[in-house]
Amino acid sequence: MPIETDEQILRYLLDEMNEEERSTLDEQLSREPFFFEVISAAEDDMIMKYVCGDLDRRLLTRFTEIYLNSPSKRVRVEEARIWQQAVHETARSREATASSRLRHPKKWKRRISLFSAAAVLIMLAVVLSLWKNHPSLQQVALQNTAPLRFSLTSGLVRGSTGVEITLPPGTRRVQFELTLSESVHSDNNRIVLKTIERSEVWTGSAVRSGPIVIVIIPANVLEAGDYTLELHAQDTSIGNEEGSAVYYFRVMK
Amino acid sequence: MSSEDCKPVTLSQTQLLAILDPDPGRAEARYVELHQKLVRYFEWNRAAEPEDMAQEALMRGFARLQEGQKITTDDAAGYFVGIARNLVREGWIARKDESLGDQQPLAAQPLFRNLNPSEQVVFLRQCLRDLPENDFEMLMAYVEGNGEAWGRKVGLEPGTLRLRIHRLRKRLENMARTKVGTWVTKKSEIDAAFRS
Repeated sequence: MPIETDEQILRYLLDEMNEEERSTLDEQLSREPFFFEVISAAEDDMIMKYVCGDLDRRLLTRFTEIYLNSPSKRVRVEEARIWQQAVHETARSREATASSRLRHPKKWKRRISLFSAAAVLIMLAVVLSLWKNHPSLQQVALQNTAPLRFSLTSGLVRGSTGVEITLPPGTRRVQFELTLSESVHSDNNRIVLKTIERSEVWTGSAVRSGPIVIVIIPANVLEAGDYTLELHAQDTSIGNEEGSAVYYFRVMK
Repeated sequence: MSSEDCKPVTLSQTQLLAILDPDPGRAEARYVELHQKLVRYFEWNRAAEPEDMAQEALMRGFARLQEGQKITTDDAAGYFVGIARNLVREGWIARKDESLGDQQPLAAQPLFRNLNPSEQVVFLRQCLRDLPENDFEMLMAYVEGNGEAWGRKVGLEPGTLRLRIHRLRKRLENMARTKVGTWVTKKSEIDAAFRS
């Protein structure tokens, strides 16, 4: 019997199928090329949900077990984060271009003919009227909230547990800006989030931005408690670790 | 069975790739796509080294074609997935010293994955820059976790939306890979010019 439901596909991806079911699905994969795409698309979607902090709690435990313990699957999780970052940055630059057009109308008037400018205004009026009449559009935009941001410095002051952060209900992503020590110059930085009992909760890569590195972590992996963020900088030219640093923080809920 | 036996033939690498598509350019792209599919398949089957296993599946498949076997399915990918299935059943473990010699298929190591995350973001941004507004809006909703709401808004079923996004991602990743390839070639040309 062919495999069709999302639930079955997720069980396949999370290795929860028995031999017989698995064999049926594998057989279908070799017979129907389209089915391969269906599963790949479901996998991409599940990974992006994890990255956004939207993965169902039941799936989250199994996902962490299967995806974060496999190097090749971790690469897919990283790719999803890279996609997320690239889309956000592109959105920001698109917004900047749009506002620049609004700020410098004379400059743009030279470039755009009167006819096309009028067309743009008409389009804006239509979009604005649609916006006002469709609360669902506003809702989608309101949900596009930026992640909560915190700055951390490595090390721990005696008697303290690190920076205390509070995550309001509904927080989906938390952005940590980690100050770099002078010895770290690499652009290739790996982050490991651990509980104070040293168990690994989440792992991913961080992007360097001048003297800091930025990492975005899904909020649903952060329960109330104490955590460490380990930064491992890799020297890509020799493949060795260039340096590491540990950042401490406490989550209050 | 997706193949049938014939007498042995000697096929060049180009002739072997032509099994995937008669046009050499498209055949190479299909080869890379096939390799990526096989890597995913082995990942789904929790193989320790999916890249090596994908390479082995390709080598076995092409070796059999050299021996005269013919693909009888419409899509060659199904034939190679069948071989991949057998490798999983056998519990095959990578043996890196084996090769097909001159007939070894193209190395499908994606250059894009070899870049560091910041470089990958730069190349993806270049590809995203000219994306039509509607596609960009869909991607934005997807990376914000609002894909399903966006799908409902435009009347798309969740499965259809997932497929659209998957195909769009694949298309843009291929574009980025081409840009990386050009960049690597230019960079090596510049390096060579400085060395000479």
